[in-house]
This record gives sequence, structure tokens and C-alpha cells, in this order.
Amino acid sequence: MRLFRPLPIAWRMLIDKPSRFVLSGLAVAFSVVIMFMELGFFNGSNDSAANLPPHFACDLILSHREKNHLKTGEEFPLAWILLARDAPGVAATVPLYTGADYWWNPQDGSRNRVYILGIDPADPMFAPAVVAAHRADLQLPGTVIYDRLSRHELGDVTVGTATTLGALGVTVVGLFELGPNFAYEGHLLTSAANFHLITGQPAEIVDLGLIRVQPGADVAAVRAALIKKLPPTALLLTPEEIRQREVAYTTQHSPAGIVFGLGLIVGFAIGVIICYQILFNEVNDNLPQFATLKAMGHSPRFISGIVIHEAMLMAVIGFIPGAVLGQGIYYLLESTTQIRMFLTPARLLLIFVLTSGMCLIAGRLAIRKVHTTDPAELF
Amino acid sequence: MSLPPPREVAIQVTGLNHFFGKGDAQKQALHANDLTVHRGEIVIMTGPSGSGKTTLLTLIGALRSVQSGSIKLAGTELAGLNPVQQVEMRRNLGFIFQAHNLLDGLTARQNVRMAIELTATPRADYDRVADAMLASVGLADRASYKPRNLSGGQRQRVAIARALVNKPRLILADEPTAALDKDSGANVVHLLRELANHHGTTVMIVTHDSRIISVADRIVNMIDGHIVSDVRIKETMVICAILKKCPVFKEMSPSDLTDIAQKMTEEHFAPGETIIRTGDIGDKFYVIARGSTDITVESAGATRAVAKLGEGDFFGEVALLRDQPRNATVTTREPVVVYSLSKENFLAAVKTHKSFEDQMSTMLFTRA
Repeated sequence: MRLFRPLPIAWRMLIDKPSRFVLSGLAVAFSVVIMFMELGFFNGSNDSAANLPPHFACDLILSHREKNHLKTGEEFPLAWILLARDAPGVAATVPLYTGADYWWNPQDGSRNRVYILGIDPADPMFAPAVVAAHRADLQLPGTVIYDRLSRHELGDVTVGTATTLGALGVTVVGLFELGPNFAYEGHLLTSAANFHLITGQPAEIVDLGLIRVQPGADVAAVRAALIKKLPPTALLLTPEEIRQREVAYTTQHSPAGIVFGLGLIVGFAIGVIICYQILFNEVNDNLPQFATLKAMGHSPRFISGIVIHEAMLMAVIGFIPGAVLGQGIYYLLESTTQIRMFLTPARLLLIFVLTSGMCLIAGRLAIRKVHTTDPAELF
Repeated sequence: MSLPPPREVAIQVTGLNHFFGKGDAQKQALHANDLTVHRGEIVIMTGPSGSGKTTLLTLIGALRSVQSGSIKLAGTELAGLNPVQQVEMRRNLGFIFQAHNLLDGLTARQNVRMAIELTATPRADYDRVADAMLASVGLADRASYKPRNLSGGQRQRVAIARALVNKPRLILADEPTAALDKDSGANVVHLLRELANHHGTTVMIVTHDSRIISVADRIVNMIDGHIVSDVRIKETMVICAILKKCPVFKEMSPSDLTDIAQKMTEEHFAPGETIIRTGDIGDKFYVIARGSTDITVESAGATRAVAKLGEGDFFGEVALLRDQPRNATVTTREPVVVYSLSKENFLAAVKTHKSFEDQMSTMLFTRA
């Protein structure tokens, strides 16, 4: 308990000047909000970019090796799908067509880019429950399932809404949930046949191949067999590997991921500076008192402990309103941009660790000032 | 008036030098100073700014490292202590600064607790001990007040309570009354006096406040890094009272007597010890501060007791005035404390005030 001996003293020193205490708390909370925002955007960017993999209902995904993330080009021929179908251990393979086109807002006539997924309604291997519920409708020409989390710019869309997609008139026959991302305002599911009609992309040019292995088959062994059978430009990944690649790509290569990642670092640095300024003033105002404690025989460790505990208290005091405010801003941004900014316990903990880290760094810097005091100068 | 009983040495400073700066910029702040302070003494240090008194105080307080010479606190040598050992040593001391330097966020009780926490006192007793100490400085009803809600005098008393609560054997104070009004200053001084008297606490005070001089047992004056005078108030008063009875000095002013008293050296003799012997060359004048002696003379091969001298008596002046050997032997009957004045200083003092012939006449007349 000796570790916490300076805690009550640090607390009383902090609250001694209530106005400064409130301002300090708000300043730290400001840094916390900045970090919440940057982390929210960072995760929102990552999560939205990797929003497809959780909906894959297959064991392996076939793509061209040059296709470095899901929403870019580099297709492959349908023949690869057929080759894969005959490989040992493979139960079924279906092509998945993906592409983007303009969606006309049915209310105001404005147009926005949406991302379209063309599936096989009989065995989609992508959001199978959603497709199963609307399988019959999807067989009809010009039918789509609309992502209800698409941005409001696409209009007030519900089942039965009719509008234009690309050059084709379409009708919404169902709704599902995926969420927009930083590149597209919304998503649509449609049959492969409709996809070809909308985009003009031929059936022989495939974006992804979804592969289900036979019950009891070893996915790794099936993948090894497929690699031998397919051309060297083919790439086979599991849905989880695809998800990780999407996140890595967004984090390391997409401008949004890099900007928000840097923003998080900048927010942290701003927090360190703010905390240091607060602690420096606190220490500076109490230098004779710290020197007196030294003269009395309190150890340098105890005196450092007071400053470190002040720093940690500031972290907690700033974190609580910062987290509440951050959550509120998340809600506001989600409702306006439809970008999902999940505040998971792990992410909450990460922000607290970062807040504590920035206050501790600031505290460590302020301690140097404390130890420059010479108790002999008190005389 | 009599001397206080002998006490153990609390502070022993020997050949103490101290330097600030390095190389060509080096400046010597203290020059081979010696100082002995006994337990329970209150020593006031005076001197102009830059005289070295504060440097000496900070060295005694283990706030600086001893560079050259020696300082012993209750027998523990400070020279060579590392910073951790210095911190440990300071826990046995009490510091009172001109500025109270209380932690504003803590109450008076909590400020005093900051000192108690350095001891082995059980945690459950912290508040009780702090409250008792605050009560002893007249702040029983202010224990839960923060410094900003106390007057200047009350704040300083809290700082004093903090310094005294662990009953340190040594208190070092820097202008403790400078920021206080007359009554508050008197209270502080009274408190320090009580501690010295009842707990044997040694107190060293650097001050320019003449109002508190009366509390001092000794006044040490420093100039340019040297201790130029070390006046033991009680001893000086005892010596002056004895000197005043001596015909040679009886017409001197208190100032002159004080000058002579300061030049006298304390000497201790065991029972049965001979202080001067018949036939020896006279080299000192003595006053007896404590104890009693027998005076014997030798005539016709026999030793004969002629008188008994006790506390407040003096002897040895005739041989100095006549420049002759001693005509009697002085032997102690019990432990004796005397103050001695060298022949050179004795004669210099005598010549300053009267003609040598007058001195001789007066002395020989009274001894006849």
C-alpha cells in the first residue's frame, strides 16, 4: 500500500483550486475526445472497409493475386471457378461479381456511387439468410436488396422503392444491413444475372470465387490441392484472412487509414503537451512545498509519487467526461454519416491506456522540475 | 547565578570549510570554523548577509554535503554521507523556514501528519499525535483549517508544529519570527524555549530579529565566513558577575567585562586535581564557576591550608600582576569548572583601564 501513500495528498493538491481542477479535467477530456474521434474514424475506416468478410458463408475465397483488397479490380476468368469445382475436397464453388455504379435518389434525383454484389441466388455463399428470404424475388429482372445502413443521400428507401441503378430501372425487394464506407455511399445485393445487366460485366469475368469444402474436409489440405491445380496468379484466402488483409490495407495503404492513424498520434501528443502544461503549473506553484518535503526527509520516490498520482488522477478525471462526450459524438457521427464507429470495451480500454500513458509521460517530464529544487535554497 | 549542569554535545563542528563554484569562479564561504553546541542550547546566529551563517546552517542540517572539515550531530559524522543517508539524517531534524511552505491543499492536521508519516508511529495514532502537537502551539481549534484560512502567525505555528511533532533533537530555524507580529513572535520563541528546557532540544536560529535575542543561550556572530564571536549568555553573565567582584575589574563597564569573559576558556578539573602549584610561573587568571577548592601554602617544609575557594571566587591574579611564581597551591575538593584568562589577555585588559601601579596598589591592598 506504500505505493498509494501519495494518492490522498495528490488528490487534495489537485482539488485545492476547484476552478483550475475543472479546467484541467476539461483540457484532458478534450485530448480524450480527440483520441476518441481519431480512433473512431480509424476503426470506422477499418471496420467499414472490412465489412464484407463477416458475411461470407464459405471456407475459401478465390481471387487474382493482384487484387490487393476486395473493392479494387483485377478479375479472373470463370474457368478458374470450374477448375476449383473439380478439385478434391471441394463441395461447391460459386462466382461473386462486384462492382460500382450510380444510384439515383428516388426523392430528389441526385446520384451517388453504390457498391453492387452479384450473387448466385440458388447458393449465394454470401449473406445466405438474407438471400434465402428473397430468393424468388431475386430471380426477377431489375430486383435488388438494399442496405438499410446506406447513407441518407441515397434517399428514403424501403421495400418497393423503384429507381435507376446505372442504366437499369430497379426495384427494392428486400433490406439487409452492411453499412457504408469511405468509398461508397451504400451497398446492394442482386442476382448475378441482374448484375450483368446493370454493369455490363460479362459472366466470364469473375471478381471472387466462393468455395465451400466438403463436410469434414481439411481446409488447409483443400487449399493446398487447389493451389496446385490453379494458375500461379490465383490466390486463396479464408474469410478471416481476407478481413485481416482488408484492415491491413486500410491501415497501411489507404489515405483515410493513414490520416486517422496519424491523427491518433497527434491527439496523443497534444494530450501530453496539455497534461504537461497543467502538471508543470501545479508543480511550479508548489516548488517550495516540494523542497520542504525533501528537507523534512521525504524520499525523492515519495515526492515523485505525488506528481505521478496527480497525473493518473487527471487521466481518470479527464477520461470519464471525455468518454461520455466521445460516445455522444460517435452517436452523432453514426447517425449523420452511417459509418459504424463501434465503441467496444477493448477500444474503450485502449483509449484509457492511451490517456494514462499521455498523463504519465507528462508527469514524468514534470518530475524533472521537482527534482531541480534544492531544499538548501529554502534558507 | 550559577551555570547550567553540563550537557552532552549536540553539534560538533571542526575545521569546517565550504566552497561555492569551481575553478577560477570558486568562492570560499566558510573558513575553518569550529563550533560546539550542547544539547538543550538555543543558539542565535547573526551576521551580515553573505557572512556564511546560512551556509553553516544548511551544512549542519544535512542539506548540503560537507566538503572539508567535520560536522558531528550527536556523534554521527555528516562528512561522507551519500544523498540517501542525508535524507535519513534529516528525518531526525526539524526545519522552520521564514516562509511556512505548508501544502495549501492540506489542513493544518494533514500538514503536521506529513512529518509524522516519516516515523514509526502507528497510522491509527497520526491524527491524535498531530492534534496534540497543534494544541501545544495553541491551534487545537484550527486543526481542520487549510492554510489560507489561517493568519500568518497561525500558519507559522502550524509549520513549527510540523517541525516539532517528532520531537527532533535539533531544530534549525531561519528567521522564524520575521513574518510574525510581536505577540506571535513571542509565542514562537516561548515554544522553542520550552522545547529546549523540557525536551533537551537543541535550537539553532538564524535571525536579524533583535526581539528574540533574549531567548538565546548563545549568540554566534559570523563575518566573511568566520565565526568572530561566540557569546555564551549564561556563562558570560556568571563570569561577569565574578569578575565584578575582583578589584582589578570592578570598575569596568559591562561591555568591557563581556569582552574579557569572551576571551576566557572553560576548563574542567577532577576532584583532587591541582590547578596551580606553588612555585609555578603564573600564566592564567581563574574564576570558579562550579565546585570548590583548597588553597595551601608551604612554609618551613610544611603544607598548610589557608583558605577554601568556591563558586564565584577567583584566584591567580597576583602572580600575573607581579610577574612572580605562584605563592600557593590550589587543589580541587570536587569536580570543578573554571574559566581561565591568559596572562597576555589579563594584562592587556588591566592596562586598558588603569595604570599598572594603581592596579598593583589596589590588588595588594585588598590582599593584605
